[in-house]
Amino acid sequence: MTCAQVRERLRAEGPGKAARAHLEACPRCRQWWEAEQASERHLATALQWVQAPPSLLGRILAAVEHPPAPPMADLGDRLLIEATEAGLTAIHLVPEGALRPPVPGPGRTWAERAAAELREYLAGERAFFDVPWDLRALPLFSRRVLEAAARIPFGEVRTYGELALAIGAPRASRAVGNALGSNPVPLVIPCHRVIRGDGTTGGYGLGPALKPRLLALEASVSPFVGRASTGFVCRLGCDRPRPIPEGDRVHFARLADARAADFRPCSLCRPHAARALPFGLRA
Amino acid sequence: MEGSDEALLRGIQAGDVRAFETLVRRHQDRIFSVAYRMLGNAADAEEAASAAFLKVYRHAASYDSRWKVTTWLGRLVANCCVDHYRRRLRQGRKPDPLPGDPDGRAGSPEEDYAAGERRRLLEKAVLTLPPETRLILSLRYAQGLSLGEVARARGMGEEAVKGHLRRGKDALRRRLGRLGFEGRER
Repeated sequence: MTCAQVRERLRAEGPGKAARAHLEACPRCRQWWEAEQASERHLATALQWVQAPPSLLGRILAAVEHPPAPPMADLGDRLLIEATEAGLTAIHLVPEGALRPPVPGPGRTWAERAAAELREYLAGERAFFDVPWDLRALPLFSRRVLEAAARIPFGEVRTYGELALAIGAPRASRAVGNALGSNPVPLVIPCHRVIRGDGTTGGYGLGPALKPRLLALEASVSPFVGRASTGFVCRLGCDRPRPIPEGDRVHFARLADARAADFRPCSLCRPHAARALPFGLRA
Repeated sequence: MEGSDEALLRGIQAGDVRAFETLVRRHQDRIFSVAYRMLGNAADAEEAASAAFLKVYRHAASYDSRWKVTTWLGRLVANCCVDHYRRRLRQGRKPDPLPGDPDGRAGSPEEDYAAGERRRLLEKAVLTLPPETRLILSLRYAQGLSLGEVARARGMGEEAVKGHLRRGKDALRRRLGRLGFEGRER
């Protein structure tokens, strides 16, 4: 065995008979192996377990007794959705307890699917929408702005200026803001992910107080979920062929992490196909 | 209440809160430690650890008895850490910000100054590693899972785990070579 092979084997399975004989004979490898073991010890010491704070147990047991409600789950029941056969045309927020008439006609399937997906999204269980929208009634400029906003990934933000640059109208940030302000299908087209250049959140059609809450919700949820038993990684909310049981889920903050762990992208929700709107654009 | 982890989990599946409490008491230090090593501060770690245990309680039915309970706990806390870590990704602007200093434990009186200093530097350096690597180091060293168990907990192959461990150690060595972390291999 060469020195490299011995080292590889030592790292993989510790000192076997052949490796030990090599270590006896080769001072360089012996020195290397001692250093390797020392680093193991250093790491084990530096990362050793620490005591949990005494408050942890009480906190867990209290949460078992009184499960906290998902912060925005109630919002799903207040959304009034309109659709045509081509897709969603409007999402309104109605006061609590207001009657929501059923969507008539051919758009009903889309509206029902959107309602279900929005409820999951607001409960932190979905990171993408699989419902088309129908923006034919809007002027071309607004459509371009909204199509660009739709490409901002879950959990991220872009500024009004960046969006203006992305659609090739660098001086039009104000017009971009207006187009976003009249977004007929908020949440599904995530205009809440567009913020001011100074980092403040800015206005929002469904109410300015809601915008930071939506951003906080998205920031606390992993957008990619691997299915350990099959080795596929999905966007959060993809439940095909069936929902992923808790014990089978592996969360990833980035698709790159999932790929590094040898997960393959799901061919149904296609996490690799999303064309993210670039950020860091400057005029 | 005594019993193996597996027996406790069967109790939890049957709705036994006492069994759950016993399981939490038994594993809270190590599960908290994984989160603490991954997230770098006690407040975040407490939040992630309690979220992980709540998942144990709510999703006990999805526990697969072919697994060791510790491996399953490792998977759940790892998922909660990843969820939590995302809050730090400042909305896509800073992909990998450095968490604050770990709330350093004071060195024990027996530990000499240099060793204590080296440990603190190493603790800090670990927090500069890429998150997935840090998570794997935490599962391996703070929770004490074997290579195979870390691989199962993260749903990846053992080779991928080894790759993370090797890259992590190489990075630490580059950073800390002069400080006695494998100082001789240079």
